[in-house]
Amino acid sequence: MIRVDGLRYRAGAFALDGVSLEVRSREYFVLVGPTGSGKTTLLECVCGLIRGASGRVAIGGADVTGLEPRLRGVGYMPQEYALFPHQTVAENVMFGLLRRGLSRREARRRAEATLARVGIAALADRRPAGLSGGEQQRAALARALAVEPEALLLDEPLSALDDQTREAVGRELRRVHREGRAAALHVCHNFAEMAAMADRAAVMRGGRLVQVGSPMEILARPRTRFVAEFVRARNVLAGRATRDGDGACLVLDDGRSLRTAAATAAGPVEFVIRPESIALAPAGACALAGPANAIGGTVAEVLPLGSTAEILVDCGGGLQLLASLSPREREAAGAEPGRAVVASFRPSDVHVLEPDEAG
Amino acid sequence: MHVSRTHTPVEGAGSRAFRGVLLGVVALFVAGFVVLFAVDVTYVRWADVREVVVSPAIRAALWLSVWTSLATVALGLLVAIPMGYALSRYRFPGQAFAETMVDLPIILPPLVLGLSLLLFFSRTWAGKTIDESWVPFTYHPNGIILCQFLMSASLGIRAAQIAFDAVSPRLEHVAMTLGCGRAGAFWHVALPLARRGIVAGGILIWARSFGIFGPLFIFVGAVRFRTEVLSTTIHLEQSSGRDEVAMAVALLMLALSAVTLVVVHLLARRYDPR
Repeated sequence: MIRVDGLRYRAGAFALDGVSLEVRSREYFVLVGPTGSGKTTLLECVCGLIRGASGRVAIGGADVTGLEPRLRGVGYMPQEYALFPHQTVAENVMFGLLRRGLSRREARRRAEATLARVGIAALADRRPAGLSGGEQQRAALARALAVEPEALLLDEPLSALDDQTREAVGRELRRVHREGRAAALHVCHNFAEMAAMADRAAVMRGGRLVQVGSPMEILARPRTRFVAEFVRARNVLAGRATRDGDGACLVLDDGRSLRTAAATAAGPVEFVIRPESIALAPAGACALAGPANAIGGTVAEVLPLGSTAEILVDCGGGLQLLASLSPREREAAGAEPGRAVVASFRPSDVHVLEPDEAG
Repeated sequence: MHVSRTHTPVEGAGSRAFRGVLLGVVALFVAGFVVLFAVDVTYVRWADVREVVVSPAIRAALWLSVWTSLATVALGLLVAIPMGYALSRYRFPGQAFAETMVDLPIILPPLVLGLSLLLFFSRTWAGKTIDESWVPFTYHPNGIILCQFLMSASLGIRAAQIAFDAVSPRLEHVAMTLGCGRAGAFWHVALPLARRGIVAGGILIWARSFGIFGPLFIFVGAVRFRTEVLSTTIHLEQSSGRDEVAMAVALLMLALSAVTLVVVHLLARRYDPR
């Protein structure tokens, strides 16, 4: 278990502004945020490589705030892995075991077992310089795991890999983590990586956690505009919340009104509709059965992305909606540039945002 | 990622002229020294070289040169490694002043150092106490090591600092999470990775110590069989009119220095900063 309480720190542009966080044992927690949001700083505070100005850090139930890194029971994998270049892969993995007083023979045996666990037993006697990015990543992971840490701290563990390797190594990382009991804290700047890896996640900005929750929650119900943009919810719109005879609705600047599922206090609001929630149909039809918002428009742009396509629909009055469709849906809707279409989405998919905090 | 230096782009006339000028400067510089040393070699009579090699006084000077300079290397590295690491890793008040003092001996006229040492050990209470009751320095081989150390330690300190700068602190951070304190991270990670730079620093210390003369002449004198090193020999022989003998000794030093430099270059080639 990792527990961070009211952690504060400031050094130049990097600051932590009272961060509190709990990662349970066996949980895989992903912390995302843009560059400079303080993710790495937070991770280094948990490691003990940075001394926080105030606040507490606990690992495995023990307060480690005043302990140096070697006594904290962490397994740390920094950006770019930082394998010791003067040692072989096995020696890298043995490093922490030897410092714990194991004999060379016992350390070697455990290092080999750990290397087998991450699938690179054959590379034990190679030097890091000769390894591919994915192999280096696994070697660094083995080095961090070999000491059987309470807390596994991973700084951008997948960022330096090419797309194909990233997917395979990410799956491997989750599997290896599930076999142990460590609390994993994984820092990255990519919301898709968060969605693929996390049991729970947090979005960080300006040294604060803006939202904590399951990846699905964060993707579907971003708390603020910043989170919405960070997770690429794309359709961020402004309007006024109000009520009419049928329930809660949002009135856009041009007078059109949209149904929402949940009531919001009356007044100006920002809200978001995810591109995946928007269905398209040819003019005159509606792709969704049951109560739905439907807005007519013309297809302005089609951006094919392989398994999906992004369709930008111009609804007039400055309103543009981005829909993400599978090739089959796209064909059914006849979504080609210049065609008239109807964009529809459920009231429950209209998600109202809270105002952004400063920072 | 890594572009070979022999990887040449397509060059026009201007670029070829530019390269020609640069390589021309290199050629002139090298030719100047080759001519200089070639004259030395032709001027020397081999009979003089034989006389030098068998002369007990000069053998004593050679032996003194060798052991004092090696002792200086040991002492110099003993100071250069911790200082280079401290200057590379820590920020402390007065650091700029400390770094200036490290660089000072590199530009200091050697005679000034000899004079300062003489003044300290002969005129101050502290200096006299050290010299008379603890460790003799004035007109003593210990003084040779002291002069060599003060003149050359800076080279070792800077070499070690550069070598430690090339070791990513992140490696030590990982070592610290794996069970090392700062000292352990230094010992197990930084030191092995800075090894080649430190060895090169040691060779620089040796080369400078081996050739130094100015401060020795003032501070320890030139007593045959006691404080005379090879560079002092050259001065003594030359000022007593025996240019040929001086030249033969010079050739001996030149050969030793050349061998050392070749070793430095071989090491430098293997030393790849990370």
